[in-house]
Amino acid sequence: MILRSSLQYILTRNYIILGLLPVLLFGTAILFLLSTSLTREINSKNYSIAISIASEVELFLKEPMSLIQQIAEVVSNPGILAQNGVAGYLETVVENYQYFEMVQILNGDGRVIRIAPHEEEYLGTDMSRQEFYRDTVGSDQPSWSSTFISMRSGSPTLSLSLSIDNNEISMIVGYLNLAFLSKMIGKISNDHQYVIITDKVGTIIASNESSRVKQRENIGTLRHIREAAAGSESTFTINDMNTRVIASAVQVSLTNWQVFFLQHYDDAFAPVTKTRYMLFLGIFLTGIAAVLAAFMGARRTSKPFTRLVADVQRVTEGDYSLAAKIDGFRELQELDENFRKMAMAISQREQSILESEQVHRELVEAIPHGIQENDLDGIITFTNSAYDRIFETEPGEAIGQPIWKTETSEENKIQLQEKFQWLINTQPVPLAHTSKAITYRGNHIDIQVDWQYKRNQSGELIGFISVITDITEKKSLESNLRQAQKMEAIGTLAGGIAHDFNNILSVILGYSELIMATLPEDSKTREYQKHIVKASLRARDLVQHLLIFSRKKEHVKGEVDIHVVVAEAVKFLRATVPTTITFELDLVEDTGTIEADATQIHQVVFNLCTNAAHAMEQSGGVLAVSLHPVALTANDTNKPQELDPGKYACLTVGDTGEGIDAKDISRIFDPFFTTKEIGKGTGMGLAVVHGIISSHSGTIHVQSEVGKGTVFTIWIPLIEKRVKIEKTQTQSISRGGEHILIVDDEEDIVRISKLLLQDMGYQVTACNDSLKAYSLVKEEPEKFDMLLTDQTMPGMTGIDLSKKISALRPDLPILLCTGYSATLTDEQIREAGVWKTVLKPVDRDALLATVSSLLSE
Amino acid sequence: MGVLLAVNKKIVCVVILLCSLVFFTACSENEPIKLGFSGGLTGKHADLGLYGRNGVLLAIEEVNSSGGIRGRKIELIVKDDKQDAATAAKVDEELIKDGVVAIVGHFTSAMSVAAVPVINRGKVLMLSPTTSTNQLSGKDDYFFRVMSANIHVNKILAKQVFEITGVNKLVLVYDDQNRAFGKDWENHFSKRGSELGREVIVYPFNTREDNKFSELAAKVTGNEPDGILIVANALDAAMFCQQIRKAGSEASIFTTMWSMSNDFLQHGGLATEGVTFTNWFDPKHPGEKSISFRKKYKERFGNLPTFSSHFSYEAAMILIQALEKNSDPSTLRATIVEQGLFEGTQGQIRIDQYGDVVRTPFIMVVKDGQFVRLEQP
Repeated sequence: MILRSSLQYILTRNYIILGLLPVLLFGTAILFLLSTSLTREINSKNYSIAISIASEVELFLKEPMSLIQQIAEVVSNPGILAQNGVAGYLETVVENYQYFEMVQILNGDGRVIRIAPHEEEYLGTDMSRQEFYRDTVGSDQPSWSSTFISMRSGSPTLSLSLSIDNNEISMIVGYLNLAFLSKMIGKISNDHQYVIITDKVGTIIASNESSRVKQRENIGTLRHIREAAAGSESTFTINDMNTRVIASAVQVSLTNWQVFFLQHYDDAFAPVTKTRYMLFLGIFLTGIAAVLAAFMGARRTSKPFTRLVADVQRVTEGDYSLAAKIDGFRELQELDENFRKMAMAISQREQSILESEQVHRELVEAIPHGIQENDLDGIITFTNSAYDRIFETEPGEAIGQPIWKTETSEENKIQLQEKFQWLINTQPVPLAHTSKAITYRGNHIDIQVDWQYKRNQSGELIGFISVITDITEKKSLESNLRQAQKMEAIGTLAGGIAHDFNNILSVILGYSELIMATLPEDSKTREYQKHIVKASLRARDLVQHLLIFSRKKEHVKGEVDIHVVVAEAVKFLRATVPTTITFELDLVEDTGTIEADATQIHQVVFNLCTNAAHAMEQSGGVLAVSLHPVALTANDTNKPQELDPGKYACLTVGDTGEGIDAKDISRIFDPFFTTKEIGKGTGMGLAVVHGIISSHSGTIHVQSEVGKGTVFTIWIPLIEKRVKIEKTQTQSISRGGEHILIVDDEEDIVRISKLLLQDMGYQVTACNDSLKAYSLVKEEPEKFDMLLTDQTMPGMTGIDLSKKISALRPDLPILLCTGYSATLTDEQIREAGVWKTVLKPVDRDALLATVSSLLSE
Repeated sequence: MGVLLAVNKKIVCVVILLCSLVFFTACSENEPIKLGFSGGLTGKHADLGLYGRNGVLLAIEEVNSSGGIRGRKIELIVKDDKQDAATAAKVDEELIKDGVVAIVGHFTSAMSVAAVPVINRGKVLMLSPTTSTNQLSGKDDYFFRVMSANIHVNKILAKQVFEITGVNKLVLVYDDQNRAFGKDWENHFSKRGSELGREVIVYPFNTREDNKFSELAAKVTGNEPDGILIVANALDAAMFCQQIRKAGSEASIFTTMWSMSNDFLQHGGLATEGVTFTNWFDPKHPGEKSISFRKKYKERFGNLPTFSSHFSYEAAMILIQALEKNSDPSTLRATIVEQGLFEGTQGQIRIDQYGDVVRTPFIMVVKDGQFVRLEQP
């Protein structure tokens, strides 16, 4: 912006011009007029003086002229005086009339014949070649010569000569005493004015400075003097003796001499000079006064403007509280008023902008997504609180940091910088992306970055705005969900195949046992058959485990022999754990009964053992599982504080793995806490364990030493009631001849069951259709002593059949065989009148024992 | 506040400027170049100095009227040596103190001889229009001149006196106030006279002590010489001529260029007829420059210039030309020597490394009250 002159400067300058200009103009005019009139006056005065001096000179000259004529008269008539009387007469004349220093009488040859004062030396000298002689001879008028050097004195002199027509005398010559002339004019000369007389060629013949005469100074040809001599100008200004003088010249008509009256210019024009100085002083003072007046006036004029400028400045700085002004002038007041209105409008607008901004700010702060703004250097210029939370920064800590600070490695940082430059250069369509990041506190997180270009009004790229979402949890949940879905799939698969698989196993097992029954004890074939039966039983167990694992079994607490569950879980785990890990089992069989969901207890063991196995995955080691009953008293030092005294089943799972860091110990039971690699653990395992144990009124403790291993100890209260699954003695199976109705849609199973039971002496009616079975019972309710039914059948399920038949015959024992019991609760079974359930495939002994026990009841 | 101060400063500047304009409108003229002049301006010896001063004045007025030297006017400071050695030295010192760039002067040999130590000390160039003494020839000093040394005129006048006119008995009178000049003549004529077997009688005189030329003339004529050589200024020479003739002597009268002026002719009257002398200067020189100078001089001073006027004009012009070439006064001498050749009013002047010139002298005679150049036989 070009800075123009300020109003005050312009006003002040104008004031000064207005103030000074008239003074200057008038002053100059006055000075001019004064000078002119004074010059005229001085000139006229000086000219008058010069005229009077010239007249005086003329008067002075007339005397010697009349004298020389008188001399001529006297000497022409020698009769008047005696012969020697002439000399005496001349002497007297020279003595009495001082303007002649010497008088000579020349003869016809121009030689001196008489001289006064008398000097022998000069008598007879030839004057015929003197200028004056040649000028005067033959003329009847006296003649004044120009200046010449006197032969006698060596000084400049002038002669007045008169020619006489006489035989003996040709001329009378008087040598003028120039000193006399100088003396005459000396009277009117002083420090300020003086007189100069020059001869007809301009040589000074009289001056108060005698040297000028002696040195025959010639001023006659100086321009002004020549002009004066020519009569064109009588008064003029010249430099004489290096001084400026006003000269007035008048010619002496008798001799053509010039009389100059000279007055020092400074003296002559002293009044003008004084007036000029006064004027200068006036101008100076007026100037100062004008400056002051201008300054004050301009200040008064410009003050409202200055204040207005200050008001504008205040508005610029955001201060809108402008007071109404009462001074200044009308136009400015209006301007001021309008400006105030404008300021208020701006203020209101700004307020609404601020409010809107506040809303936006709060919005930005409220949204759970991090917002980051950065410039083209990649430097962060803004973050919201969500950003600070996600990246674990103090508020504002991230501002000024480069955006690649949160990259997880140096390589990634460089990559991001390169990509950043590429984005600036090519400006592609923004695409959201996910990436890993490291927080300011060093934690690894997953983030999703949605970004946009930040542009100024003209569309120029000035930076980037990014919305950052912390997707760490989401990722983890996704992973868990995937796991869960996998489990679900396995469960569904397991559930789906379990039925058919069990039926197949039932056939294999059934026929194997039938074959065994027909073989002698020591038969080799019987021995082989035993292996088939054993393998079939193992297959049956495997299906059971699958069903437990896939949580197809209902979580229902009941009396559980903890040993059985733990042993079962360990057994199952063995197959999945690498052989580098050795199992050390110390399971006390009679540990006791707990009230629990066997599946959950199974899961506890499974989870703990899996963790232990993972801890030793690389190096191998020992996985120790122990189970024993403990009786904790109140004073027992080993008793965990949270437990009441009493009997507990104490389960420990230990490993010789890496151990857990002290800092992590307190967090291991937190959900999703994991130290495992991504994908290896869900972080849910120990949390689930903890939850299960807590729900079983137990507690879990952990002891760990880094590099040595970890031991989990679980206490679960024991209950008094002991359930002991009696091992069925095949030998004691009764052969009572009771009538048993077998219903199963699988013909093989019906056939095997029928053969087995018939072998044992029971009367068997086999049926493939549940509806038909029902009609058989309905027809003859008392015909059968027992119902053995499959659960999964077309037409009517085992449960429904049981329900209907028990309604017909409540006392009829009903044994339900099922592939898996996940879909059936104890409640349903009880309501349906089922006396007992057995899991398929049922081995011969178990079937016979169960049938026998039910019939005996 | 800062803005207000700045405004005030500006205004004060404007006011001061206005006032300065009013007050100091005519203060920027260049300082003039000071040129010294020293010569006899009063007394009987004044003719050389006065005519010389006018010649210098004419030169300066010409230069000043055409704008001066590189815009600077020349101011002539004139001093009167009163034909007195002590005064000559004194006035030169005054001129040097005044800061003159050079001095035109002196006009008589005696004065120049007295001035040389002063100017050499002050390292100020002195350019003499009329000094001709042999004493100052061939010297590497601050004394330059535009007139030839006497030796040349001594020779031709001696030839004229002894060989052409055939004078057997010569009386030589010279003004002792200008001994440096007179002695050159005495020495040469005495030597030459004795060489030729002629009698040479010498009378120095002192006009200050004794101005009775009638007595001197009686003494001279008492020797009955057939030739008289007068070495004196114009007035004295004129008066002496008159007295010699008054004493009835018919001897041939010879004089020097020192006497050569109108005053000699006017005051000497008929007694000057036939007076023979040497000169390098022809008052009726037909050259254009010479005529123009005579005209200008007459217009300015009302009478005709003498040789002193011519030579002084030339001296001033040489200085002016040198200053126009190089205004540094300290190099003035070198500038003149370097140029060497200058246009004079009556032909070229060649100045050698010692500041001497050689002009071709000739014989002149007074005939019918006029100086007439005598053609060499």
